Amino acid sequence: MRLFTNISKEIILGWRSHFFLLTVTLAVAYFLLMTFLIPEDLSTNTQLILLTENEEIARAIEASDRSSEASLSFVSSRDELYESLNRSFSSIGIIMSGDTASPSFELIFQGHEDTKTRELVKLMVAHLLHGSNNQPISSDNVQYLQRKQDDGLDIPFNKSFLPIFLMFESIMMGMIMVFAMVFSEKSQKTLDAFAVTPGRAWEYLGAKVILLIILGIIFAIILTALAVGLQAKYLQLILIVSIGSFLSTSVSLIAASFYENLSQSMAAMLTLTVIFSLPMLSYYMEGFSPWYLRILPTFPIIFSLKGAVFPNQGSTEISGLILVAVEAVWAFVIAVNLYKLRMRRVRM
Amino acid sequence: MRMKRILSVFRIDTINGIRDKMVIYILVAPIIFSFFFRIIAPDFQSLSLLFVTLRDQRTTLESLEKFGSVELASSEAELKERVGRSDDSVAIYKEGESFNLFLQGNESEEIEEVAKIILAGLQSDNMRYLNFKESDQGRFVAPVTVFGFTFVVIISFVLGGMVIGFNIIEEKESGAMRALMVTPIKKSELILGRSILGIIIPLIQTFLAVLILDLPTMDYLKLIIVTIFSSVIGIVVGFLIGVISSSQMSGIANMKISGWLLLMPVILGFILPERLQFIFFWSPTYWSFAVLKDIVNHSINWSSFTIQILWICLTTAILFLLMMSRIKKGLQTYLN
Repeated sequence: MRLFTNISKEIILGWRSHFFLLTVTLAVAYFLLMTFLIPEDLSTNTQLILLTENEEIARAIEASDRSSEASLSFVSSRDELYESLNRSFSSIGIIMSGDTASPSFELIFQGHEDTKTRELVKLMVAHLLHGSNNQPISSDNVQYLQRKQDDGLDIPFNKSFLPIFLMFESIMMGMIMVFAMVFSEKSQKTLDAFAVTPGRAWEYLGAKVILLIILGIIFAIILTALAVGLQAKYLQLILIVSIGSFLSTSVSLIAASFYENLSQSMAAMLTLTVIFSLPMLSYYMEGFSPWYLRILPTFPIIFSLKGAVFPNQGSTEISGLILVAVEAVWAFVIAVNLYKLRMRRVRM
Repeated sequence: MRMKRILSVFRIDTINGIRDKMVIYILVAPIIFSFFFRIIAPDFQSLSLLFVTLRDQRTTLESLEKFGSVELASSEAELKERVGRSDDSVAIYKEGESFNLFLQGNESEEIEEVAKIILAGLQSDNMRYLNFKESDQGRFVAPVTVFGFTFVVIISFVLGGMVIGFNIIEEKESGAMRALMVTPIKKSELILGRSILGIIIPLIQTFLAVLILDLPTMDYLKLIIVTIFSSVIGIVVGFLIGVISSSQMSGIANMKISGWLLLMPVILGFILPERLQFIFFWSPTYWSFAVLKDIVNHSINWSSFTIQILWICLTTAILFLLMMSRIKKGLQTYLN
């Protein structure tokens, strides 16, 4: 019963501080940003800019099957090639000259590419040059763990931001707001007053966690419904947001217990936010998932969010989510004990 | 206006900040970010792939290591389990005389295409007879380092501004303002004194980021100028948050909105192509990002630099003018 009283108190305070209005406004703002500002068809991959100075080579490349290589573009002169290289610092220039018997290749890199990228570009050039002579890959040599989706519906570039926005707001919204709630109550000595009531620390903190989970769910449902409609798995989404928000809020409660005011905690708050955001790099850059990102609890969350909002293009890693839930419970228990200590000091 | 009073406000803020360890935390946070970007930069290549292969296939491992990072699995089952995890990894292994490719099934077309090209390359060794001549454009700083550096600089002045804002809110709540009201200090002296820290901290952090990210051949004069001008953005927003927020709770809501408006143009500016960047021309942080990016890439001369600095000033001034009435109103209750 006390927990419900605490929750309704938090909801009233959150309402007065415009947290609900802010949540809805941000969800709509993110939707507008996704729909009207970010283009649908944009490739962020490295752009290969190709100049063929020999007709024979150009024909060989034409014969090559490059239907899916969206990042390949052609130019007709060296000036145009250098202009393109100067426009995009992640592009690589390729000049093909000579003839098919003795072709000559000039690769113009930006300078920051590592040897692996350079080798891969060389392999791509070789693949392009051999065109139709490339030994076709037997379907027996390519296997898929799950049925390959042949619906041709790749995630549009703008909507691919949806899991990132959900992560940033639904999951991590609590990280910043809980600091404000804790310090606001510290300055008003609410915790000191609460310490002399029969109320328990877990009820006090649990109410904050539940409010922030509710806000996270509201944001997730509004933004997901606007962006992908009924295509998403909403129950799964609510579960992921609840677990993620529980973890981030509990971790923030621990961090907030070490500071006296918001200004002091600003750097810690920001550091935590950035650390929890880091797995977005792996999401954004496919194939980049070093161990130091994989150990972060938000790593399985972002990919599970992808699985929930784009069920055909991703999957939810249940074991990863269970681990996050366990970590969230641990973080909450630690937070409760830290606040209990503080309340005990007040009682003494 | 007396310089002595301005410096006194600055001195008091610095002493309080050091005593509360606030200045230390603010200085440390961007340093951690710089170290992080330093660590990830070598691995964060836009064409890199994460491969998985069998532990006992030495030759396959050596071939794949040429193109990306490789993880090893002891058995085919372990290999498939690794590919099935949430991140994007592809398995390539030799079975008999041919190579097999194993994918999860939900990879992007680009990943699948590159994986198939590598598979075809391993099967036919089609690179062996080709000779490549390589040259480069002299841009040795990786895009992720450029982003990391600009992000650290922008975060440092945004953070500086937020601290100014929350100091004001706390002074309002604690009643410390009343004590200030009975001193001879003027509104302008207090604002200027309070702003000095918001400029010094970003300057220190910018130079620490240069050192940590190993960007020694920088045009330092341009860097100092852009950092000082950009810091004004943080200060304006900080004061705005401070004077319009009645409590820390509403302060955090205002910080959330202003942080979104300040940082989103920087993040999207990094991702979106140049032809679409006009949509952020209203944002002062976008112009800071653009100048910082060009300074790191050594692709800015003094005339373009001046124009971009003018854009920072213009957009910050517009922001200030739009908010002036609210700031004025807030300052009246803040300090008469």
